[in-house]
Amino acid sequence: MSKAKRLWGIPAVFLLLAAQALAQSTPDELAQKRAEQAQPRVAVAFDPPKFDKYVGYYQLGPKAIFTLSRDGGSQLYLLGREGGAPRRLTTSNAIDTEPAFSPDGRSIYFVSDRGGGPQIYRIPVNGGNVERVTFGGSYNISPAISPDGRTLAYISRQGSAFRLYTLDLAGNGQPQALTDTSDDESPSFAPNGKLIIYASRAAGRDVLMTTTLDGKIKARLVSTSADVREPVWGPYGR
Amino acid sequence: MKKMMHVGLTALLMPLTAAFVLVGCSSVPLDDKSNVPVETRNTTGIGTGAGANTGGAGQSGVTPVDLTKGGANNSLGKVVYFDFDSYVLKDEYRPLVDSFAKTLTADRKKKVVVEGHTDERGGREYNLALGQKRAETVTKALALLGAADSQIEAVSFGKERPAAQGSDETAWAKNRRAELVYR
Repeated sequence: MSKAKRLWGIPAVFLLLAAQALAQSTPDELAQKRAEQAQPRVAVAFDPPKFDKYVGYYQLGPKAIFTLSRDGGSQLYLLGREGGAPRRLTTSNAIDTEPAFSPDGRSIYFVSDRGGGPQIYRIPVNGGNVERVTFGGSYNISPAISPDGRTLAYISRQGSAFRLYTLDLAGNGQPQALTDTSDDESPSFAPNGKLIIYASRAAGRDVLMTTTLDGKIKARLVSTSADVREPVWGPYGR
Repeated sequence: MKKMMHVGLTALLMPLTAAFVLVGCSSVPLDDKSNVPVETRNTTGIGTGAGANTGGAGQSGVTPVDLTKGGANNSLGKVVYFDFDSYVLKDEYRPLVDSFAKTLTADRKKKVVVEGHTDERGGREYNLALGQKRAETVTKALALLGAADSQIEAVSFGKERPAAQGSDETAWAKNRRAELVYR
């Protein structure tokens, strides 16, 4: 459902949302809307400068989900497309960050250190019980959910290495390492669910990689001495 | 059909993505990653939880000081160092925090910004949150010691502004820090 975006955190007081709920559209209408809506607008202005130190990683779905540090630590907040006041979703004394909508929009996966180290948890979008999702390893971050909702991709620390892993959410499968590299970051599923794009390092250079879900076929898309980070698959894989 | 509803939204966010990256991450390549062969990582960093990496090298700026002198911030340094993935304030930094608290309680016009940082390992977003926690650990201690909320502010830079270059424990220990800056 939602082709969600993750954007990098900024030490800023504005969260810019190119909002406008889009009704069902033909490709022509879409192109027109794109042109019309090329200008970002401020959906909500947070309280400067004391409370909202940073607006973290966020993702758009039926609502916007993002991290704010206004109440101490880092907590998740929800905002409808209409703007208004962000609603606090998590209330822990721990770090809660890196929220990601499930494809059905009903729950939010996020990273929390409420259990000691960072692990991936899930909470219903309307609040409620928080469930822990990852158990293997002491450091699991950056959740991404496959379009069919069945597979969780994430980064797990193994010794000194940070590797791309998947976990079957439907069954009781074991975590699967998809790589043997040591600096994997930021997984994102292709719209067809068959590939994962992620950032990594190879021979001292930043690379963008894709891999099949079984980890058997990998491709290097970009290799550069400049920074490459936070890849996100575009709609329809374009 | 549901798919269609969201394509436009996503597409129009693409230019925004670029804008955010520019604002949030800075378009300047971070030199911590440009020239450093990452595979040279020192194995002393492996598998350690909080408490194992005390990072001696990072504490060189801290020397024992006679607190009775007062206003001894300079000799105490202005940086608090942390263990990997930890935001626990170590006892050895209490004198430093005490010293800042004394200055703040003596002069209510003074303000301190506490900047939290992390080492390069792990996710950027999680490290941003971790840096925030480190900064707040210090501001909370300052508040307990009498500083007013209006005098203290916690901000996080995550892993984006390392104090030391390199991908070994020596550099990491220097980068896991909270810096106290008078404003």
